[in-house]
Amino acid sequence: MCYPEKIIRGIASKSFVDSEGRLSSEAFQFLTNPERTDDFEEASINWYDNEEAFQIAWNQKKSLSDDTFQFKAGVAILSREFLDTIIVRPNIQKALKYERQPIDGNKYHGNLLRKVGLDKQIQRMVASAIALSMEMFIPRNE
Amino acid sequence: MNIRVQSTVNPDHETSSLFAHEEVTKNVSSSFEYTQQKREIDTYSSLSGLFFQTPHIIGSKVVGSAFRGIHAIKNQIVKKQTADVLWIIYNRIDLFYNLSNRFPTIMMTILDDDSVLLEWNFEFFRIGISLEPNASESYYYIVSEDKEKGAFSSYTEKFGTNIFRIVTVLVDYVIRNT
Repeated sequence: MCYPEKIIRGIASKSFVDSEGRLSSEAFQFLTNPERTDDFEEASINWYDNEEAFQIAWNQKKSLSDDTFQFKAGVAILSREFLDTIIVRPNIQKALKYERQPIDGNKYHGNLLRKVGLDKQIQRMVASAIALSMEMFIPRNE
Repeated sequence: MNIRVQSTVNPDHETSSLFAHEEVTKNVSSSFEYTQQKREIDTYSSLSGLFFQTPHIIGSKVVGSAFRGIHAIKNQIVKKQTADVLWIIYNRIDLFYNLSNRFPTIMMTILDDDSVLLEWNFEFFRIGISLEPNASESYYYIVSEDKEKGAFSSYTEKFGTNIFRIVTVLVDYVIRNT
């Protein structure tokens, strides 16, 4: 599978952004998907294959009936290369990975994946490590 | 229900360091803020008595925001731990080194399991302090990036009985590496 260098993560709340524009680890919450059978939880991303991938995330609305933006705070750009250095760490290995998972209307969609059942201490450290991989945050000034 | 209790610390025992650093923080909160908020803070923290009658922590760039959020913590054990940790950082950064304006604001998140996460985020490293309802389970972590080597390192450990010493070491790590 081919992956681009950058990952797009939408940020829903300004409370996840600190005084210097850096993200809280709470911006990387993983959710259980009952359809998965591999014991991993998902955090939704877009793969930054091209500018269209960014525009889809930037313009994503909450729902068909709610015309407000899904990512009210803005969009973060993460480094896949840095994530790769995290993934090979002995205390994180096999607990974190990623995938492509195209969905209707968004062929760039994918997931960061975290192993289910990790110790809370490791969970939070992993989320913080992902936040450290942020290269840029583009705030929505509205 | 908010319960406000006056600190039992004798004002005659104020530390001289408070006055030595008066200049540092003279522009922060008003006396009104002091009477409304400082009393609550004194109630939460066993260490705050060291700084009796200082309103300045509320205006600290690094810890002020988190301190103002302490009232929302429901678990009393977590609330006290949070206040203690913030006092240690305030003592070191604001009062001892007078460096508050150089560092980012600590983010505080109250989580569904009643624990509190304090995050202090820098360009190349991040420190997290998790304060748990069972204090013996409280822990910290550091994640860091070495840009030149393209390397990542991480470490996490429970505080055990060494929370004062470890938080002081973490603050000194911040000062050395920024």
